[in-house]
Amino acid sequence: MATIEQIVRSLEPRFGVLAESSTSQLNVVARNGDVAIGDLFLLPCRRGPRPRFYVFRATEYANILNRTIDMGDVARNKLTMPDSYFAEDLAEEQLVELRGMILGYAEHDDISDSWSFNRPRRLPQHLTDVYRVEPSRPEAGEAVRELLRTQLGDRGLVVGHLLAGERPLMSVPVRLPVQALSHHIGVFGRTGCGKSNLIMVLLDGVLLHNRGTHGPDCRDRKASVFAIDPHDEFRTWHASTGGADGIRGIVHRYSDQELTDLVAPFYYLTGRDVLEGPLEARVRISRADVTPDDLVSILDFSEQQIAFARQLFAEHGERWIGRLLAGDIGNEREAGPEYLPGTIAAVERRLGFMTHGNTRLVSRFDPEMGLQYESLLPDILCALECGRVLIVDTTLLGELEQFLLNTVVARALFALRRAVRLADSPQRLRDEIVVAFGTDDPNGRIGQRTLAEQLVARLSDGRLPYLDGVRVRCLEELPLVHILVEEAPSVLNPARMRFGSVFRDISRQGRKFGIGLGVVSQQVTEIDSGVLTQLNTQITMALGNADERREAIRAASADIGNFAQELQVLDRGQLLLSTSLRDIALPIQVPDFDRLESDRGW
Amino acid sequence: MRFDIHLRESVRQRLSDLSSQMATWEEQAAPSQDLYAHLVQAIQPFSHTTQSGDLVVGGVDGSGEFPVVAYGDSFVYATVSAGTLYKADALHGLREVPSSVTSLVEFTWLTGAEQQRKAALLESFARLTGYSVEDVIGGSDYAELRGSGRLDLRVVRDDLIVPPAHDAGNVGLQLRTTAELAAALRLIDDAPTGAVVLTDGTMTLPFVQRSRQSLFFEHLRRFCCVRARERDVVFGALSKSHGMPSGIRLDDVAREKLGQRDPEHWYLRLPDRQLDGWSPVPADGPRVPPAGAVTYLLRLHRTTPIMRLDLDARYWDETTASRSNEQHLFQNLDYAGHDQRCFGYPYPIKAAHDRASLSQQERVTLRKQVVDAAVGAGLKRTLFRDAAQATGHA
Repeated sequence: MATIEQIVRSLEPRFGVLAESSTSQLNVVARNGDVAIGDLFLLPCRRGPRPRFYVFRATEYANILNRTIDMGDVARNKLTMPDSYFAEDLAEEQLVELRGMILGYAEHDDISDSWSFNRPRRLPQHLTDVYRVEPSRPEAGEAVRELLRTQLGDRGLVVGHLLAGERPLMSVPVRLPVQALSHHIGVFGRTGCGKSNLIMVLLDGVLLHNRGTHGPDCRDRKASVFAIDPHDEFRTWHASTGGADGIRGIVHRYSDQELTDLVAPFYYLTGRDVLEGPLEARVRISRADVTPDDLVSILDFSEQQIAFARQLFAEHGERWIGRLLAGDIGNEREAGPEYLPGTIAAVERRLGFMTHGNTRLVSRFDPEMGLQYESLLPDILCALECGRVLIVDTTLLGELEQFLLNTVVARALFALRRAVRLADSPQRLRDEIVVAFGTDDPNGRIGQRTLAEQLVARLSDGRLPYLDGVRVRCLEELPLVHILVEEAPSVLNPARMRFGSVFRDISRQGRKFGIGLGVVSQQVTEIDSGVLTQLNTQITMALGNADERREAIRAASADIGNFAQELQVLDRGQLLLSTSLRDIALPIQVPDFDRLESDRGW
Repeated sequence: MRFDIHLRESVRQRLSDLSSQMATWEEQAAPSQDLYAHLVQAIQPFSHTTQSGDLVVGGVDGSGEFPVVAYGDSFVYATVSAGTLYKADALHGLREVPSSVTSLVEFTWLTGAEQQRKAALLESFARLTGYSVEDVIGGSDYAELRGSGRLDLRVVRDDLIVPPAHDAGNVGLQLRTTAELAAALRLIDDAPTGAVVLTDGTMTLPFVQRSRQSLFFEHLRRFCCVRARERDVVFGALSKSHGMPSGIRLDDVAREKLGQRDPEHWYLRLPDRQLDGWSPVPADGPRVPPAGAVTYLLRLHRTTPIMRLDLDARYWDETTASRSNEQHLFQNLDYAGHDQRCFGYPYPIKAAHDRASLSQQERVTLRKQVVDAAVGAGLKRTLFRDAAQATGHA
């Protein structure tokens, strides 16, 4: 590891001198130069028994004149005095003063000969020399990487490169631990800020991670992502315009064995009937896959309407939607509360988007009429449990269908994982799966019998990998699953998150079952506060207004209040990463996926 | 407010009396018709100067912390001075030129013992100037101005006034003035022929009329004049206050002479009562011009006050005492005073001032440094406890 002297040499010349300081904020007087908010500085210090480097980010700059009392006077003179000039001094008269926050300090441990990063609990020395981290100098980046090693992560998904001012330090990649996928992640940014590129980079990272785990000796957990793609861009990315190919391009480079082990049966789901290549599938779920809770999670229902829908589901189970839409609910109804025709009609109206002909997603289900179970849901669930990245083209689906698909997948997976946790034997697991989907034959409850049977069948043939011989795998052996919820305010707003929403449970308990939600939104303010508090990782990109920035700061798991000004000037592809898995928030430049691909020579 | 002095009737009455006296004095000090006419006659305009081909102008200033640390009967004084040198430049107005003169910093430790005190103070003087005390005394023309004839360097050295260690006012004055003149001396030695070197202040020699005792900086001031003459450098002392009796309304005089509402760009050489037969300075007032000097009053810009410039009289006799030379000098000063940071005042002095002055934080840090160094050398930190602060007096 480099010594304090070696690191200082790599950073020279000195940029400024520390003036005032507290444990959280520093004032530095520095040479006049082209500076930017977010510039990164290092302050070598020998105050304690071990050498330290304080890491400091500029949040505010001001032009000052060396010793000149009032800049205003000088400006007035310049304006009003005839033929005035501004003499050039050898000793620099025009200086800059910068304020900023201490991210923390790295302390050298002589025994392990390494630098460990600490939160800013200690003060730097008086009048400490200040060195600027110049992005164009690789050696400066190397120094930062060494000092911040514990915060940058040496394994996981590369989110981007640490920003120093406006430019990234290309030798300082910032990684998100793969475990973060099983926690909830918020991705907030206004339109055009680079969210799609970020998700593309993350998907690429997950595929890379899974490829790294491929092999008999590797015990790392795979990761799965279920990513709704409302613009159908992740599959081919910019290939049609001469740019990089998307997930298609990546999986095409896989060997046959890798395709079998890491991609099959599909990576791309679409609402289109005509498929363009292998490992693609027509996305479809069945009415039998949908419960009242799924609909309550995506639509406004009154208490009466919810009660009616649940009673209908209790009576008819997986056929409840078909019965209602067919107007066939009267004759077989068991004793129970009567519902007003208006309530029934209202629920029927809300289910209107699933009527035959109105939906490309939801297939009819009525075995008595010869309409068998047609759904990709069991295979989707199996794929996610095998460590797959699934992108779902929803361009041909309606908004409600998109939300419904997300909800059904999330809820079903959550139910399966709960069953796995409860089971201690294969038979118990089968029983728990059946119960998890509401089927209770002794009590005459049909529930989602067909879906449960499909899953149990896949459990038996190994497609649902919960069994290791006669042993039920524990959750820690299953892949980390991340479900991206695009346009999250539509399903994760306070009104929708009342009791009954499947996301209410997942947001609170998903983590312990290894299921994380990816909350993607242009607005932070519209997201339910209960969900926001459960976000372990927050990725904040350029936001539309001050309210959103304030809320983003409030919601972040790490304190990012000092980044308020930086949030205002975030450029396209720049973000602030704060995660409970790290001590400090870090500003990052996400690599352009097109360039990422070309840099790899693909 | 803990005191009611502002409200007491007796205080207000005393202030009223004082103000009346001041007003009466003003009336009495009004110049006579003759004097007024002389002054009008003496005022000379010069042109606003926006180009100054080969001007090289330097400035010096000093400051310090007097004392920076006190303990027992001992005091540590910190003295700082700085010199700057600029060349006229078409792009920047003035561009600083490299010179060997950097900031001078001196720490002086004075105790209650007279021998130690004298030795320490003179050592500091020598370190600041780069010359031995004897060389400065021997090289200056102070003795000629005093009319004391042949010099016995040792006697003069022994007769140098050394204030008590606790007399911060006088010790500080000597150290600061010496440091300023030391910077000026170095600039004079460094500057090209024809350059102008300015200090902040006057060329007053307070003890020149006495037969014995003197101040070291008096010798040094004249030594600077000698060196400047030898090197053909214009050495001047510029004071921001002119020191004329308040009854003399120089603005009115200049207004009448120049016909401007807010007269600027003018100068006036103060006559010597003996040589010129008249002087606006009262006969019992200060000696202006000082011994060995020529004094000008000048105004560079209407927003800056009337200032006073002292020049070495002998150099003035030899090189400046013509209307065209005076014009050239003041045009150069005008040009040097066009920086936006101090319009109407020569920037090199302002630049030197900025570099030499100590902020409150710097003073505190300096004190900490001195104390830390002393503790490092084995002294106890409690020795340096600030009594005033400890007793709530600071």
